Amino acid sequence: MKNRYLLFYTSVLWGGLSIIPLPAQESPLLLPAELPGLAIIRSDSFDGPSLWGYINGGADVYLEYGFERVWVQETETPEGSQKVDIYRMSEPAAAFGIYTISSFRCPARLAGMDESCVNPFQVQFRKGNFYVSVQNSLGTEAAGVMSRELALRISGKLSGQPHPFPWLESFMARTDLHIVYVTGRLGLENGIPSWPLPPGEENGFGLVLIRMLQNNSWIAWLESSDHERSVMAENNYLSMIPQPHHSGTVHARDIIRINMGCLLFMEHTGPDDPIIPVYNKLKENITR
Amino acid sequence: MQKKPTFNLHHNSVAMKISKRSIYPRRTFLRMSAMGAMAAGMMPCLRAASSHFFSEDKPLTNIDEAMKHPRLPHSMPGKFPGQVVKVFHGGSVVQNQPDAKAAYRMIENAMLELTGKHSLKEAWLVFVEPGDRIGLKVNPVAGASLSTSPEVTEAVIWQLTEAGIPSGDIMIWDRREFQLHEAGFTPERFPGITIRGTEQQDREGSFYDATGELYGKYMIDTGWYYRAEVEGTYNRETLPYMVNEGRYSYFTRILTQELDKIINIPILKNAGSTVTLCMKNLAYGSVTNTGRLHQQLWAETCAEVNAFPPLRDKLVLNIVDGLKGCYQGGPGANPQFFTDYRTILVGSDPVAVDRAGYDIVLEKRIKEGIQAAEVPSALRFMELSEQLQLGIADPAKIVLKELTMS
Repeated sequence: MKNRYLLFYTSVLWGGLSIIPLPAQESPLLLPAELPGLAIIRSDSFDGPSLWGYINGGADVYLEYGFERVWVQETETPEGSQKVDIYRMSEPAAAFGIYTISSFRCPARLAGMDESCVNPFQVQFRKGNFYVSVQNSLGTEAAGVMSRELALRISGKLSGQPHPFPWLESFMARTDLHIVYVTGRLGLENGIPSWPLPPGEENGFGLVLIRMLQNNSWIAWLESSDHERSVMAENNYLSMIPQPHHSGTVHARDIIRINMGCLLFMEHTGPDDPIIPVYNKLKENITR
Repeated sequence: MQKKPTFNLHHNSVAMKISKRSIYPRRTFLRMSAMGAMAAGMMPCLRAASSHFFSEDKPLTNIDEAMKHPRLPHSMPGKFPGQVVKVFHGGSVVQNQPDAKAAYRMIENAMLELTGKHSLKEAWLVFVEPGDRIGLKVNPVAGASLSTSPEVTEAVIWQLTEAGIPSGDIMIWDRREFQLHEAGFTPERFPGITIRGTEQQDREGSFYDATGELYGKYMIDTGWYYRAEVEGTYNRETLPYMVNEGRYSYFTRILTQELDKIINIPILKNAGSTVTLCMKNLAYGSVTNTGRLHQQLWAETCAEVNAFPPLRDKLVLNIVDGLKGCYQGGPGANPQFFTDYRTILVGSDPVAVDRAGYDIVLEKRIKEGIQAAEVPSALRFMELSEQLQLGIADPAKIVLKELTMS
């Protein structure tokens, strides 16, 4: 629902009050008094499928993961304009998924936030069931500093929650890995475009891909919601994954059944492949 | 609108390198089939892969009704089927902003190359003539940072007016009038040009008039529709962006009643592993009730809506704004995936132009490590379009003329 004017006046009204962390379900809007010279020139929000009204076809992948609401703010500061998108997803895993398909080769991260991605024009992060993007229009050092400042302000309003995949948490800070989590066809198209859909319904799976950027070796974790599909996955899915995802010679693929619904499999170039220690650690984390 | 540039309009003065390929090189496709055999060999425990994990039963549409309308001599793909001019200009983006003068020169050279005419005016008059009501279909859905640029649009308008088209006969249009404004298409920047969208808000921000009716309802032409057996149902907050529910997507009257010819000006960007360029910009920008079409009928909609006469018979030219674009994150705006392609594509054949744009984006995606190989499903909307005789999708049949400017 568009609440442009209501949000604007609410921002002005509450601007002078102190900022306190809000529960995850509350509004994390920036307020004008938070920073000297910060002007909020636009505030909108869209919930449910009205996201189509904001980003048109781009909304579908958010809806697939599980979207609840987005707050949109455009700000002006002495360092230029900034655009803030604060997406509240249905659960932390959904926010994690959107974050992972929206960020790539992150040159830097926000201090203390492993699930963040800092580029000259943009800061992205995931916290709880929120995915946040702060974009600046200039790409200058000063504008980037302001983007990071605004992102940290927003982060301070959000409550953290346990990681949806605790066994992945220790890998999130690594810049040599690209980690993607998808749950449906559109997520797959955006996050792992060369891969086929896992067996079963288009949205009835969970797939985490950990890719070693230097040589494209990978580890995949596949969760299937029922036993039948799990067996199908074990038997067939691996053979359908295209080799071109790997830049080197494939020496082996490995597969283990974690439990009734989860598989872990890997493609690597041999015992010296840097993905091997990641795989071993991951197995240890998962089966612990 | 920015001040019109004054510079030499003779394209011979441009330092330019031209290469022309009569046969578009076929990309080496990397297929997954070899991997299936290899994996099976490595892992004896695996059974052979099944041919299909799932089958897709596509909902029926009224495409047959569209095909009953006789084609006209100038129907899509227009006067130059299968021909695309690709212009690269290294100086077309300056300090992260598209340069209108460079855009003008790029389009000028592309128009001359495409038509074979010796003057720019002659080239434009191949497609339009005074008295035509001309609509410039831009793509403003991703905000100011990733929409058709006002600079390229200005360049087109300058050339149209120089060809004798009164500015009062030119309209910039899309589904959403407010997004046009957000993307920089304002009356202040484009004086004398009509800026119009199907979905409208009043000054108070409401989509509904005093009687409770959507403004958008007055903008649709119920005589033209795309019917698909997918039901659209929306809440009150979503309905203003869809205009109507049900199984019908109505064409905007902007297209059916207010314009004679369409010049399509999409921005060069990806949509997942495919692209959202000419066909998508026209199809999804021209009809209502689109939310229901994304999930099951994305490719079909991109192709089939264009087969209806309001689009098929009015589109005359496509000019892809590839000065700035993206290779991932699209159709939304995600700056880390923005790139300066510094390229403009021109052609009357929207399918061939889409194929040329697709190859640019695919090459960038592979280079950046987004994907390792082509995804066959990414081509589906182009293949469907070719089947509907809307253009040429087969790269072996496309003539790509490449110009390099400096």
